[in-house]
Amino acid sequence: MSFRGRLTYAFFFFGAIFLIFPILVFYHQVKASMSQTLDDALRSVARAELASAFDSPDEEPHIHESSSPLLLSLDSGLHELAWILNPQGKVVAKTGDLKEQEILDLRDQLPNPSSEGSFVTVSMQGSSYRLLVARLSHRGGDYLEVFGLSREPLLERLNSLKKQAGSMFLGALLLLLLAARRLSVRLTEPLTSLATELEGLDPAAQKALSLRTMPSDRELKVLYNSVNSVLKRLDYVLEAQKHFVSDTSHEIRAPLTNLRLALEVCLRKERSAQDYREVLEVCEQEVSRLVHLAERLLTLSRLDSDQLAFSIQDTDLVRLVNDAVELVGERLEQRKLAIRLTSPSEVVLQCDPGAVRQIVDNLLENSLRYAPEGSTVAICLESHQEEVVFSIENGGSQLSAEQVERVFERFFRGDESRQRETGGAGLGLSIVKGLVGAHKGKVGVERLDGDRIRFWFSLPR
Amino acid sequence: MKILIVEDERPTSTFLKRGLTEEGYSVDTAETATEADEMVFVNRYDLVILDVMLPGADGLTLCRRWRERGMSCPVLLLTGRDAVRDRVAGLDAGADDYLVKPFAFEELLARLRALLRRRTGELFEQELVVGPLTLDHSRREVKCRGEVLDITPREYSILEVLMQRVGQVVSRTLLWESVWETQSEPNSNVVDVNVGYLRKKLGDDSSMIKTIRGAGYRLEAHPDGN
Repeated sequence: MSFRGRLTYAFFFFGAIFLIFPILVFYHQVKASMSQTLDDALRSVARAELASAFDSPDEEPHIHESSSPLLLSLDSGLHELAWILNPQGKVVAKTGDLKEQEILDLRDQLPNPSSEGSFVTVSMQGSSYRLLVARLSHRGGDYLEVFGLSREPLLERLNSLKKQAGSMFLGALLLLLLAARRLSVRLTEPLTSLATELEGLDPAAQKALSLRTMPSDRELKVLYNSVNSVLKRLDYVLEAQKHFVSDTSHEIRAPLTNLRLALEVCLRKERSAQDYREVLEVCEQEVSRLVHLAERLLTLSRLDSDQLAFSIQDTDLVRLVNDAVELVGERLEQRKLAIRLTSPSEVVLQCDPGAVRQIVDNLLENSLRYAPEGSTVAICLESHQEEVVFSIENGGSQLSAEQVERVFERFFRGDESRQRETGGAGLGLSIVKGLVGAHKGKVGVERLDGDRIRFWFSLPR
Repeated sequence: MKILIVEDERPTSTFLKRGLTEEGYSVDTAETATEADEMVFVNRYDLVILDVMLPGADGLTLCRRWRERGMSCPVLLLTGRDAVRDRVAGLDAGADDYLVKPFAFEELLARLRALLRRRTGELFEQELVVGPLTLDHSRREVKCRGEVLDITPREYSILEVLMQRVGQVVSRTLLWESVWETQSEPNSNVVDVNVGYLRKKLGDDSSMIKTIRGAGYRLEAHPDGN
């Protein structure tokens, strides 16, 4: 059963219950008030009769029969009947149309009627009567006077009321069904349209993923907005993936083009040994560029799939950083760069030395690439209670505030043409981020005064 | 035939230039969009080889700008992207052909020839015939009375320019601009020297190339008037 169907059913069910309740109450009140009117009429008739039952000269009990039926607020008149029993239980007076054998013996039902009179409902002459039975003392004997009014008109009236109420109730139920259907459609409509719209989204399309419509209801707006923000994140991931594929393909195609072109042009005719040597040198460079790229892509994909196995052991980070700095000594000399290292004498941390070395190497590489000739690169290693912080600071950065935010993205390059000369593909810093993340550490970058920039990472103890 | 290569990958442009120069084209190179813009504005090229991914501006923008300025020379795009969408974008930007990296040098040469042929309106004509001379574009050789002439790529290019404008005066400047690289030192004497070599190689038909004093050269199909 659909949600919409269940909702309709529930609305209808509870609506019907709420509807039938007041109808029943109303019917019973009308019935009670009509019965009360009948009883009042019966009592007033009886009172008059009782007062005048023995007013004849012979003081024999008799009944005053009115010629016209008693008229209440009902359509037809009420048929009256009455009889009087003497203390011996013999009928001494009765209304004309009442036959002797029809008279009921009420002593079982009302063994001790009061002088005020007691009401009882009986069936006589094939119809329902309301009787008032009163005890009357006369000359030391207890006479029993019975007065009755036909209940038929009242029952008829109630019957027609029942019928009217019933048909009204059925009509109301029909309306209720329509309303319930309408209401459940209205409630489920936003869900359906949301589902349709989500289904219609095409991740392959050029446009950004988002819901095009926006409902006016506040609650739905909240829902749509949160769906939109999820879509936006999804869009970002899809977009990043697209970029990654196209950037990777570009980074692979460039060295391949160089290799193919160099080899094909070279082989078109005989050349001198010097020429061949030159071409081979270019090829060697391009091959190492490809190897470097392949290694980094492999590291990244292993990071992505958590397949990088770390061997965690006690590592002295001061020695590790010193080793890394020593290895770039030649390049420092070439570009007249100096490195200032500030650190305690020893910082021992539980980590994978290979991975941390790669992090430090990549950050060092990045700093040396941009540091202007003759400048100083400042490295700082701090040991705290809960973490170890490594930072490296250099000048020559031309990154804008927005670019700094994207610096850890894959294939991001601040300046395309400058990087070509230094040969970076823009993967080093994203590897740093991945490796630090895998060690549950944090990584960051800050722009300082002038063109100085500071990269840092922290590893928890 | 003068070609401009716009490419920021150094080895690519170096070897393209070497290969094309050996094929007899005169080749200029530019590394950035700005540089390429200036060179196209100042010089006259028969063809531009344009890399799509350039620092500064992308090749498509550059190509579109040139077309808007009314530059008509053929443009061959080089790119690392081979999706249909990218090809369409390239051609819509006004490029004449599209080559996906890494390409074969032979294919590049064939496409260059096709583009240059289309430009000179020769469509399917492989040969250019003037009097006893026959110039074969695809084999880049010239026959004189059935004999293949042993000429250098430069001489071939000079002859090509003259043969395309048979009967017209061709200035030294035009020859210089069409045959030599822009970066090389301008020297009108080099033109004269090369034309001299060419005359020598033509032998009996050397009188086809007439020197017009103060103006340049003119190639005549029947110099003796017969």
